[in-house]
Amino acid sequence: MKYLALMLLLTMGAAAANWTDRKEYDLVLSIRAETLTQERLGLLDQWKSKYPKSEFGQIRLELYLSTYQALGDSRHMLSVAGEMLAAQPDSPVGAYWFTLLLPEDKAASPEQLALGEKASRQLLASPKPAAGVELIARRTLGWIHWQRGEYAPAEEEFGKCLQLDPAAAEISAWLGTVLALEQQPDKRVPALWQLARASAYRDAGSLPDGLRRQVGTVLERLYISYHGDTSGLDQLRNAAAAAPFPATGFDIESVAAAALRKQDEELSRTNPQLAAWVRIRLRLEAADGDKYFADTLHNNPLPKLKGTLIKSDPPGKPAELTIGVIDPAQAEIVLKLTSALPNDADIGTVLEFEGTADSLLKSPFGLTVISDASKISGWPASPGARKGDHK
Amino acid sequence: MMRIVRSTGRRRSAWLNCSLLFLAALIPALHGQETGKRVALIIGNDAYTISPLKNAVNDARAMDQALKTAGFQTILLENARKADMDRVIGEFLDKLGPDDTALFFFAGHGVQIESENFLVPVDFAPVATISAAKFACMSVAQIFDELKRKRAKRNIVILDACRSNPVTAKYSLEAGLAKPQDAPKETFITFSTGPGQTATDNPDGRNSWFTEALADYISQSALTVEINEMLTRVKKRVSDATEGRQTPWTTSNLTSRFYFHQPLNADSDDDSTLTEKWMEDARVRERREEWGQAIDLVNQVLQKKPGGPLEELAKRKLPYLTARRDAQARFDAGDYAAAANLYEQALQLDPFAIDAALLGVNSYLLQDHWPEALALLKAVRQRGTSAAVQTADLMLTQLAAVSPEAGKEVQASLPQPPPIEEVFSGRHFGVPDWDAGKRHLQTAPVDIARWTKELKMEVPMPALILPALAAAPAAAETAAQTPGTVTPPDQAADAQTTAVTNAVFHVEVISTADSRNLRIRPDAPAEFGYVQFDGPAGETPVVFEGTQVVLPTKLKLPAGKYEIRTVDAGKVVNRQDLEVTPLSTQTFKVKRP
Repeated sequence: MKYLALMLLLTMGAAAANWTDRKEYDLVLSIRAETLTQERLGLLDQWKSKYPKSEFGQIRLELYLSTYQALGDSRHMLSVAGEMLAAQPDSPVGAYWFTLLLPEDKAASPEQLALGEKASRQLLASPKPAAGVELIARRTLGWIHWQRGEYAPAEEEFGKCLQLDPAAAEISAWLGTVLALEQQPDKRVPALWQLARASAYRDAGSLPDGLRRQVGTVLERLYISYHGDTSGLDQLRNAAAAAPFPATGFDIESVAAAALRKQDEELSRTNPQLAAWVRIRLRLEAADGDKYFADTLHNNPLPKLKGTLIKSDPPGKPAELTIGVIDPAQAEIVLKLTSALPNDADIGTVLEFEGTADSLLKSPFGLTVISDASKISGWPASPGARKGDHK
Repeated sequence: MMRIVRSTGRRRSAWLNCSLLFLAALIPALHGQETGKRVALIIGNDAYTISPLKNAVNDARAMDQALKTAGFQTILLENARKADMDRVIGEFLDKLGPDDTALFFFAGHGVQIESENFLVPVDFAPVATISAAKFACMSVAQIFDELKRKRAKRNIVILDACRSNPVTAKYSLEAGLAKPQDAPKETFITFSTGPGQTATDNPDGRNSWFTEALADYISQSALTVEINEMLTRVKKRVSDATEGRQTPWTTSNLTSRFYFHQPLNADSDDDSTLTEKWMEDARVRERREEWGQAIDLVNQVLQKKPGGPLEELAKRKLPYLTARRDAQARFDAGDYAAAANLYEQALQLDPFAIDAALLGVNSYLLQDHWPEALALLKAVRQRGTSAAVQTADLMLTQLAAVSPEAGKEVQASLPQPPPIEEVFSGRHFGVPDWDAGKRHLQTAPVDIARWTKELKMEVPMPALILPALAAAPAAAETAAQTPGTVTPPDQAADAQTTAVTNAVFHVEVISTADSRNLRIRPDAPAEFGYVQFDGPAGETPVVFEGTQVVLPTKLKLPAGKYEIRTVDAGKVVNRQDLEVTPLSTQTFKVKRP
């Protein structure tokens, strides 16, 4: 109610304004009658030039706005909306148009972004905003965050926009872009989804054809980067066209995940021991690797593994063996033996071993395993000649 | 003998020039979707020494105006000599880029010589031979060649040059233009009539039938139809106007749609701004007092039910326009009483329709109804412009002779003009036009190309990815199907070691496509050669198709082409091509960097 009352007051205030003289009225009548937009603009310029202090300053700016709109001149519309806010900071018309138009500015200054944020928040603060105004305000707020590189709040605003209007394909395109810009592994699939929706959605709220195709091209490029090829892209487009957000658990296999999967399948067939170790190591090196170690591995026996001896200490009667499983030159496991071995083995000797996980060092990676001689095979029975460190 | 052909046109309706200017102002809004420029070269030739024409320059000017409304940068050339045409065609071509739409329009004499079309410059003079005549004219084929060389996104060629003339008869040439041959790719061609035919005269007109219709349709911003559809309409209009004697002709190899006025969604024809454009066009018609056409446009708007202020405006406008149309009809029929009533009605619907008030005054005066005329003149004094007030005062002064009230009124001081809100009644100043904002969002989508262009989604390979193993299944299958492929003895036992090869110094033997193709032919006899790999014993793995041996080794390889890659710490440090021929033995020396 307050908002409406304010508008009425503003309108009444305008009604109280007076014509400077009859010539001003003539000029305004000619503006009213002019159907040629460019001519109308010229007449408005005349009005502004001849009556710079006209009491109808805000109305004149509104007429400028609608004229520039007819000309499709968003840049000048934005400028006029800025003038309205400069002359009257709480101008609802200025706030609305500045908010709506700011994202079209290709080089918005930090000051404009700040003004846009203020205008957007002013719209959001309206007790009874018109239908769609919240969407416009949040759209611009999200865009402003995006321009500032504040991707998380941008994502949040765009998410709210899509809740308000799931058909807003433009917002999907923006959200997809922001999610991709975040460069976070967990944002890649949602980004692809949003871009797919923006490019595939064809009902009310869809992007114009040119822009839709443009987003489609970007989607295909990113999808290939992520997935390796276009397999599944059509299914993604179809699914995204039908829903603004992916279902819980929706995933697209990345090229890395596919490589890991194929590797795991192949290793499981050709070298199950190595396959098991790669799986364990991947889990240990994941973000929650420490938890996995504590919950699952610690003090528990490892499967039988095969690796290459890199180092043994102390010489002669080694009780600590450093072993590379994946790379014979890269230490991964330190076997701590409960009792020392009776002799040395050549560096590079391939060993099979079992043991109990004891401790984990994530960087550089190292898993300490408690074992004993009975659980190691491949160790030479007779003392082997030590030939120095493995290359 | 050369035959020169040309059409003329009937008078173009008066509104066209005016609406063209208005529509030109809308260009940025209406052409935001297509990338690339629209460039038009427009030539109109009247001033021929032989068989001068009357309307070709008008046609060129009409097209110039119309094409500007459709977002074209235009080059207009009137009464061009051969040298002018050569020069301007160069200028036109220089403006074209690969994303651009090129449009060539010619109105003037055209001629076909030996099935080739030529456009006649104004300085053409009769020559002795047909060959000389060709040189004196502009070859359409040459224009096509230049357009092919420029490879613009699309070309549109419009020739309004199909009129019979005495020169054609003199050289005993065929009538009309020839069917164009060897047009560039992505080209739309239209003639004002069919190949080999001549166009119907339009001696009373200012434009040719064809150009008049075409320019009219192009200038209608609301007519968001594809070029083929537009030309279908032109054909119908010309055919109707000439009672079937002339039908424009088109041919096209365009592979994409072209719109002079792009709908918002070209594929769906669902242009939400169409109603707005119709309303703007209605205002233009109203200003030109074309009431019937304005009413039709407003009705179109109402049928679309756009809602919001636009629908409100259309609803308000319709009875006003109807009253104006009917008032004019009654006035023209001499029914001044009915006309006066209708003008009153119109003035009530739009209190600032001062012309309606003055026409109403006229209608009353013709019936000697002084008090009613006086009331309208008072309204004019209050709401009219200074010029209208002067007219009203003049009328009041004359009326004073029969009406003392009129004398008093003219002596009275001028009333204050109404407040500005009344001037713009229907507009709510101080309140955002939410619907206009929504419409704006639909018409002006934000171009995000500058951000998306740089987007990347490369997924880093985890350190634990072992490429040799990841590729192993396919390689293993290939090897299994290929009799004689080398199988190193320790392969099975040492798959684990194979996995490490990417991390350490090693050599990879990779067959090229030629060799792979050779080996997947099941019926091809297997032919093999050998490659001896030498280097530090036992240190460097050699990997071939997922299998691995260490130096020194001799690989038995199917005949074909290979690339030998030396890899250190995951990076290829050396590449060498190698061709294995049957039963040959070659040596490859492995060197550490």
